[in-house]
Amino acid sequence: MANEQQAPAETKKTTEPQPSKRRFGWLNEAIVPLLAILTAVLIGAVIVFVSIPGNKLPTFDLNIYGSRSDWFFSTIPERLRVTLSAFTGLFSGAFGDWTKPSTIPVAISNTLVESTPYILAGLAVAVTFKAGLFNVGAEGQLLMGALGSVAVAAFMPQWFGVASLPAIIHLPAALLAGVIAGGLWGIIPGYLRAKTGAHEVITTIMLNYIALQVMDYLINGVMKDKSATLQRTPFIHENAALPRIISKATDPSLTGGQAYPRLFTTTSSTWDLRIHMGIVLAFLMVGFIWWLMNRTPKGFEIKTVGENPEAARYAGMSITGTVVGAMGLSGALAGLAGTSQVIGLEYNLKAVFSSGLGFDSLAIALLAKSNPIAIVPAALFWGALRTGAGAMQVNTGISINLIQIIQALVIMFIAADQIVRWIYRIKQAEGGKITFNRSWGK
Amino acid sequence: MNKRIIAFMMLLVLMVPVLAACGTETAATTAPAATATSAEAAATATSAETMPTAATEATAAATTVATAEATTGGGATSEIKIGLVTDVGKVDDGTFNQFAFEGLKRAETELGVKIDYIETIDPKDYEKNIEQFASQGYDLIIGVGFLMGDAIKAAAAKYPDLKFAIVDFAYEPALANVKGLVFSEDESAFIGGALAAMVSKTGKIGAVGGKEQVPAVKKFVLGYEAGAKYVNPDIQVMTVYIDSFTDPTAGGEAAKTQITEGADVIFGAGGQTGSGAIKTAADNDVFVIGVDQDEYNTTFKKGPAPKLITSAMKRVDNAVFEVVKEVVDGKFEGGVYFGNAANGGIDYAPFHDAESALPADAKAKLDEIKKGLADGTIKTGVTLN
Repeated sequence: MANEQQAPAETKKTTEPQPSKRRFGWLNEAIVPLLAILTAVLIGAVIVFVSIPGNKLPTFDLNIYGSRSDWFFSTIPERLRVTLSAFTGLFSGAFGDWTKPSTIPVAISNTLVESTPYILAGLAVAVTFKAGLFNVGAEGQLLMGALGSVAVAAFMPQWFGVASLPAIIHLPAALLAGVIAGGLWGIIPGYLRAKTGAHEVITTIMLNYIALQVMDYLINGVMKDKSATLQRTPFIHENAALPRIISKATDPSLTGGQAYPRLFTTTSSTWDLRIHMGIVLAFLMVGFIWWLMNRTPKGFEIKTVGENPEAARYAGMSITGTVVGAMGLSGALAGLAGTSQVIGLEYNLKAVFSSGLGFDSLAIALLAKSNPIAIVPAALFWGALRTGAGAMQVNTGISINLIQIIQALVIMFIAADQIVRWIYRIKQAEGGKITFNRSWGK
Repeated sequence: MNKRIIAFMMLLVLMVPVLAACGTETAATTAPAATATSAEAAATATSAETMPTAATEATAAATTVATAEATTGGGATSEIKIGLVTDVGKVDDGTFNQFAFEGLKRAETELGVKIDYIETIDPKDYEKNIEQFASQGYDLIIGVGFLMGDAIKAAAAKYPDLKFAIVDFAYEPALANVKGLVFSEDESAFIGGALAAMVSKTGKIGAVGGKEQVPAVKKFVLGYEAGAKYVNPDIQVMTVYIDSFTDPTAGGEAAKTQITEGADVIFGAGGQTGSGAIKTAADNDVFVIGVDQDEYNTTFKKGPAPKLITSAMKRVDNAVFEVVKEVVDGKFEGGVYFGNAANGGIDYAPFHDAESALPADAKAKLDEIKKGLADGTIKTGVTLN
C-alpha cells in the first residue's frame, strides 16, 4: 500500500532496477519512526541512569568515597541495574511478567484497553492529515461523542417511559449517538473552513473549550447522578453497554444495579480482564479507513484535495464537500473513541473524563505518518508506555514523567526527521510526506 | 537502497543487548538467592510470597514459581507492604499527595514497613494503578483524594482480603476493608479565619477556592468565613471559586481582584489554584493564609515569606501514619478516621517570618480557639446542604 502512495515518485526512476525497494517498501516508511522511538528510549535510559532517586543508591559519604565522582563511579553497576529494571518494569507492566504467566493476560488486556481510544482518535486525526487539514479538535469531538452516547445509553428508556430497551436497539442507538455527536462537532469547523476560510486549527481549539464546558455544565446539571458524591452521570443501562470480552461476574451493587454484559464469564482472576468490544470496533475502523483511502474514489478525492487542492478543483472535485466530509468523518471517529470509553469501559461519564486523549492522538497520527495500518502499532506503543509506567515506578521509584519525556522525544524526532536521518545516515525518502503543513499558509 | 537494509540490521543489532539484558534481569528475579543483596530482587521475592494467599486462583504455573521463590527468599515473611496511589500529581507537588507520602515515609522509618507509590497521570488510570498494587497482594493500599472514591470501592469489593484507605472520602455505609480518612476542614479554616480577622485593617478579607463542588473546598471557605466573623462579626468576606485545581494564574487574578476591592488578607484553598492566589497576593503585599499543609515549606519554599501568616492544616500525614500503624498492630477496621481539633487531625501552621507583624497575643488567642473547637464550646456552624 505504501508503494502505491509512492507510485509517482517511483516512475521518475524507472530506469534504475530496484527489486528490493518493492519488497521493503513498508520498511522505507517505517524506518524513521522506529529509529525515532529507539533514540528516544536510549535518551530515556540515559536520563534514568543519571537521575536515579537517592534512596535506591548507597548514600554519599565523604569518609567512604573521598569525592563525589568516586561515589558516582562506584554506583555505576547499581545505576545500570536500576536503569534496566526500569525498562523491564515498563515491559512487565505493559505485557506481563513472563516469569509469572498469570500476569500476562491482565497486562496485555490493560495495554489494549489503553490503546483502543488511541487507535480511533489517531485514525480521526490521520484522516484530516490526508485531506491537508490539521484537526486539533479530536479532544472536543471525543468529549461530544462521550456525551452523546452517555445521554442515550443512560437516559433513552426514560424518554420513552419504559424501564429498559432491548440491547439490539439500545446499543446501536448509543453508538450512533456518539458517532453523530462527534461527527457534527467535526463538521462545524469543516464547514467554517470550506465556506468562510476560518482556519480549522483555530476553530477546533475553540470548539474544544466549548465541548469541555458543555460537558461540565451537563454533568453538574441535568445529567448528574444525584445519589453520587462524584460529579458523574448515572450508570448507563446494561443493554447499552459494549460487552467485555472475558471477565468475572461483577457485583451489580457497585455499578448502580446494572449487570453489564460479557461474552465469556470466568471465575479465574487471571482472566478477569477489562478488555471490551471497543478494540474490535477500532480494528474494524482501521480496515474501513484503509479501504476508503486506498480503494474508493472518495478516498482518492480526500488525498488529492490534501495534496493539491487546485488540481482537485480543476479535476472537478468538490473541495467544500471533501473538506466538510473529511472533518465529519474525523469527528465521527473521535466521537467513537469517546463512546467506546464510556459504554465499554467506564459505564458512566465523569467530570474528569477529559484526559488529553485527543491531543495524544495528534502524536500518534504523526508517528504513524497518517497511514491507517501504522496507527495500530503507534497506538499500541503509546498505550504500552502508559500501562507500563505504574510498574516502572513501583520497581525503581523513577518518576512517571519519564514516560512523557520519551513520548515528547519521539514526537520531536518524528517532526524533525532530519535529526534521525543525520544520526543514522539515512537518505531522504521520496514521497510519503505528511501534507498537513501546507494548510498553514492559506 | 542496501543502506536502508543495513540501517535496519543495525537497529536489530542495537536492540540485541537490550533484549539480552531483559533476559538476565528476569533470570535474577527467579533466583533471588543469587542476588540476595539486591533490594529489588528481595522485593520481588516477597511479593511472590504473598501471592498464594492473595490469589488462590492463580494458575498452577504461577503458584509453582511463587512457592519456589518463597522457599529461596526466606526471612522477610513478616514485612508489611503499603502502596500509595496519588491523585493526578506528584509525591512532591506540595499538595495532599506530598503530605500523604510524608506520613508514609514516617511509617517506613518508624514502623519498618515497605512502601511503594505510583503517581497518577490521568484520572482514568486510578483503577489500573490500584490494581497494580492489589494484584501483588499489598497489605494496605492508600488512595489519595475524593476522586478515587469509586475506584477504591471497586477494588475493595474485588479484593476483600486486602485493606484500603482513602484520603478525603468516607463511604456511607462503611465498607469492611476500607478506612476513609476525612477531616474537619471547617475547624482548620476557622482558626485561619480568626487570625485573618485579627490582622485585617480594612475589615475586608478574601478567599480563593478551587472547585466549589468538592466538599472539602467548600468547608474550608465557609469555615474561614465563620472564623473571621467569630472574631469580628462585621467583617466582610469575599469568596470566589475557580473551576480548577491546577490554574495558578486564574487564582492569582482572582486574588488581585479581591485586593483591588480592599481585601488585605487572602486565603487560598484549591490546590495549585489556591497556591497561585496566595503567591500573587503576597507579591502584592497583603497577608495570606495557606491550606492543607504548611505552605511555608511548599509554596514559599521555606521563605522568606513575611506575608504568610499561617496555613489551615489537615494533618493527612498523621492520618496516613495512624492507619498504617493500625495495620501493623493488627487493629485495622473499616470505617472512618475523622481528623479534627480534638485528635490533632487539623491544626494551624507556625507564623514563621510573619511573627513580628502579628499581634503579640495572636498565638494565645488561636490556641484558645483551637481548645474551644476541641472541647466543643466553639462550633463552626458549617454544614453542607
